[in-house]
Amino acid sequence: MIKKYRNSVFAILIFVIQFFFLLKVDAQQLADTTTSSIIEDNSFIKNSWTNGWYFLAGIGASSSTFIRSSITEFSPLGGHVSSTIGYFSKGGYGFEIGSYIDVPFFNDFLIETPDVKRELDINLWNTLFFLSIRARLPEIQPSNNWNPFVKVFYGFGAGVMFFHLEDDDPWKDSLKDKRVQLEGPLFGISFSNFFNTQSNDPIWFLELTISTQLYQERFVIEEAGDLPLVLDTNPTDKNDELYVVRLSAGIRLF
Amino acid sequence: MKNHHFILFKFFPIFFVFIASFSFAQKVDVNDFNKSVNSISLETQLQTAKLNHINRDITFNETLINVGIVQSVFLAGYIAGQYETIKNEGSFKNWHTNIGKTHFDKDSYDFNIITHVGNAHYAYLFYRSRGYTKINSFVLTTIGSTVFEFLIETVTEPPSIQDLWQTPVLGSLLGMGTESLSLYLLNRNHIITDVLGYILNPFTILPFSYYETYTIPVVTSHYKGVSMSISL
Repeated sequence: MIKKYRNSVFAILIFVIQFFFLLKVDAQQLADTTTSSIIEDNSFIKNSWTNGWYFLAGIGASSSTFIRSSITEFSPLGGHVSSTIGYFSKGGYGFEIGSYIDVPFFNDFLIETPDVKRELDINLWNTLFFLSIRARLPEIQPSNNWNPFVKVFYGFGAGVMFFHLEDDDPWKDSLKDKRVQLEGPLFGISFSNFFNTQSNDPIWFLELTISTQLYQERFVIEEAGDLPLVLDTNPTDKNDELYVVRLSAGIRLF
Repeated sequence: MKNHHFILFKFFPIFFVFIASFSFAQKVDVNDFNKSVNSISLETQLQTAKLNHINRDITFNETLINVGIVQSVFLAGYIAGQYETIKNEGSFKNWHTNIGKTHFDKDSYDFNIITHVGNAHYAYLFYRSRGYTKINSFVLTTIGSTVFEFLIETVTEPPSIQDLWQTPVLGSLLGMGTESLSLYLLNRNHIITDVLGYILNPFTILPFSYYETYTIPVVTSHYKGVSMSISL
């Protein structure tokens, strides 16, 4: 029952959060118009720490490990982009919804079909969405460049595998315009530090994140016109897992 | 190993709530934090008279018109870009039954990241050019994208979770970067940088835009006075 409506519930949640966001913004706009100049600072990065809504964007390097039964595939270096919208209150807690987009590359990824076993180079485009809570580490007094936070998150994501095939590869024709999408839940934890929170310099952060994702469903997709065609859908054997370690540098945009 | 993982995933939401309640119990010196916020000086005010964005009060009716303009452009683009798909696979039945079938779409990154984000970034820049704040421009872009997903695109496909997030969030992020870079270039006062600035943010050149030069007071720790700018 829950699984059946999971995606719809997730979408409604996004919509509800947006709704509250809108209410908050109206109030903020009212306050802005009564107290301050209408000419705003041009700076791309926010340069004063405030409670309330915030938008964090980050980019960085990541290392991924794909585990399937007893087989381990390792991608030592990939990239990722992160984006987070949250509400920061009482100086210590942030309630967030966010996303990571990871792009690891796997050399010689073992592919198994009922008839054949072989290795292929694969790009994984992994999109994760999560709800998270960010909290200041306890017993630490914040200062300009020392604002450590911990974040725990839980969500759902989809990873798309793109195959790299040489022109003379025997699978070239059969895999042409095809890809595999894996979907499943995830969770993780992050440790971050914010810089320049008490000065007029742009606010930025460093964040170390560890997450794990369990792939539960597999879709074979063919690119066919404007809408992709799902050729096959089946559950995984519940043994496909992706572990990712990310190091991100980011900024606070508002 | 397998069972362990399933237990972990099954009980993680409970763990998540536990951590959340633990967080509320933490002690944080809120006064210290607030002091640090209040101590920020007026140096954050603008220091030179340059082309800049002007926030203004906008009526609800005008907002409806602005949102309508953006949605009309996207609707036209959708019909023009996917005419064959709409003709072959679109239907009124899809339009209302797809609303409840929100899912992770199976599109490739060229659609989900490049096309959608690119389109949304123009929506963000349009709202900015009408005088909305950064946050309000982001909110309007988000609402527009959500309306498009649930009330327009459902003619051919169910709403996409990736699009609900990536289109407005990454689109606004790209819009913020593009706007900043554009204003930086336009304030270099050179024909090449001017052209690049207008290409990056075409809305700055339109007569109705709220990117203007102005006269403002300058307050820093080293200087107090007035900076003037004349726009010809």
